[in-house]
Amino acid sequence: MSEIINPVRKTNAWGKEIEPEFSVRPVRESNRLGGVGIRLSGVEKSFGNVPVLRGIDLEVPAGQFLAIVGKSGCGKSTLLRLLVGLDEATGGRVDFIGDNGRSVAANSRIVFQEPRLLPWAKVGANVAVGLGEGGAKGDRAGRVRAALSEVQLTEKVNEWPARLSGGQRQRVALARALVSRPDFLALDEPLGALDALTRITMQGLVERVWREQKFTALFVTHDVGEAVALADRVIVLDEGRIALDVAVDHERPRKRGAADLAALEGDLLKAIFA
Amino acid sequence: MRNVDPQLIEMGRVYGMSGWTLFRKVIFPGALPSIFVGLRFSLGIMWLTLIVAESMAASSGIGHMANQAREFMMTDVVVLALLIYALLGKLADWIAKTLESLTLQWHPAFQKPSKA
Repeated sequence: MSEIINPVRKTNAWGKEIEPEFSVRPVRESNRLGGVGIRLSGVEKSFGNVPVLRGIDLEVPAGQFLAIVGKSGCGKSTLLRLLVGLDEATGGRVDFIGDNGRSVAANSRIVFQEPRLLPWAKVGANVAVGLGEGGAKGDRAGRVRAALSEVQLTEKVNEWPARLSGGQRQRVALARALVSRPDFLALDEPLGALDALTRITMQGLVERVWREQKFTALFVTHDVGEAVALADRVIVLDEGRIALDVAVDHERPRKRGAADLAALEGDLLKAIFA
Repeated sequence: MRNVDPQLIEMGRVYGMSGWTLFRKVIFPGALPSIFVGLRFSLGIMWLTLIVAESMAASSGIGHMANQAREFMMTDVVVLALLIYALLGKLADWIAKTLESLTLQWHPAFQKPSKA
């Protein structure tokens, strides 16, 4: 599948930055295209005396799109924060697994529910935040442009974030996360604050960049329909434990409102409120 | 500093900023609006104190000049002194304002109406 998708991404995203021979033999892409695997063993987290996660065991293969759903307060955001290093687990281990089956350091990025753009930096500079410090100026600008073209906002590169709509801001936040080509992307209800129509467009966008870049994606959401439409696998968290683990192997792109997906959504909802 | 959005600081941390970079890119720009409010406020107090001090204790300067002129009933000099004070005050305020609008272009309150 990646052979079909690759050429699209290269012209799309990198423009002239990538030489033709690069597409024949990807140099840095070999480990990047697959993303990284994630292994959680007995992960626990409590805030003070309140346990939020009670022993999570989870194996996520590289490149999988995993959705986590659950009622609010079930610990799904906490789990995500542990994975990107915003919080420390109080027990258990979190490992990223490379190609060789050994634990590796992952380039992980997160998209929050709010865009969290720097209001005093133009869109381009905000995306460049994702690149960190250093690097040649021209190279940085090229990568920023490429990331913005992935989210179809190239023309807004010199705009202040305050001038953008909510959906556009969230797309900039997505570009900022993607610009460093992460192996692992955490999405913490990234579409939660958007209106219903923008959400549908954004879901398509998230699915497309994931298919193109093949990173491992962890998508936290409270919208079961969204989880079923996007993910390879859906996990239901309940009171800090994994209550249900369902594979969704429907063909992509999925049709919204298809009967089998709707049935699955119904089953999941039943499980959540059981 | 406390007014800087903690969510932005958290974002900076996840994106690998620390120490000086975090300060330069997130904390300082975030604190700038409050810094300018403080600056303009203190400019006002500074002028007030300066004028009082000058007219009471100084043996030279505008305040002293105005005082002497008052004693000798030279109204034109008094008016001149007042005008100089007003101009200086206005100038300082204008400088602060210009700095403000230069550095706070991103702020919705300082943005000129959109061209589009």
